[in-house]
Amino acid sequence: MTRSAYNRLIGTILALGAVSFVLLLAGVGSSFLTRPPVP
Amino acid sequence: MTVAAGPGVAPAPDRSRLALALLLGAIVALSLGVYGAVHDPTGRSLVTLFFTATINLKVWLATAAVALAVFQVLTASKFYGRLGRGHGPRWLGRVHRASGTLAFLLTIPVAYHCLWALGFDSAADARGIIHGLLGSLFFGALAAKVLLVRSRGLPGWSLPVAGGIVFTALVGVWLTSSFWFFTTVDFPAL
Repeated sequence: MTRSAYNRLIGTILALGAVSFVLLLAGVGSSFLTRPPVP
Repeated sequence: MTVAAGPGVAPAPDRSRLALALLLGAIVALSLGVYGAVHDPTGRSLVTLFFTATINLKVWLATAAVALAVFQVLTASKFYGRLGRGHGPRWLGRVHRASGTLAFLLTIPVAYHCLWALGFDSAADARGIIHGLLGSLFFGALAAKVLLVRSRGLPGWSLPVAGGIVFTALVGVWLTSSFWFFTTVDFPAL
């Protein structure tokens, strides 16, 4: 893999991570990742 | 008056990109802080994956992220020529970027649970307040560092300083959470 392709891959993963984080905080998909508190 | 750099003279550092990175970092840090303060904590647990409880997931993922951050500092020190002789093999940079990306990914479920389920409580004890502030600083500094690492013509000190702030903030976050938990509550298995 070339250096530029590798950097693009890393950049894409970082961007996806950041977007996922923001979406989760916005409540998108949170119901799939959280469960009710233990009584 | 601006003096053009002559042959053999290094061009003046581009401070506009530095300012932009600082601005981005500040926006990210403040946004997370405001979110944590205004969001009503859900009190719900995160999916535990292969861990037995959410808290176990959090303390161990955070610990793994800190271990990777230590590796980050060591690899960066090597290719900056500050660790032993030479700058290390060419693949060290790739390993550095991959480990940093993995560390970031590991912090996401931890921070998500902190912000979504617990939030930021200004009436919390000092540990809780420091933890929240350092957590916001960590993601702000990380955003700034990612922008800086893709920029050219920056002052030579900017990237090491940004990386140092990211590392320090993460260690502080870990000390006020996982380390505190290990030493005062429990040392849980996975």
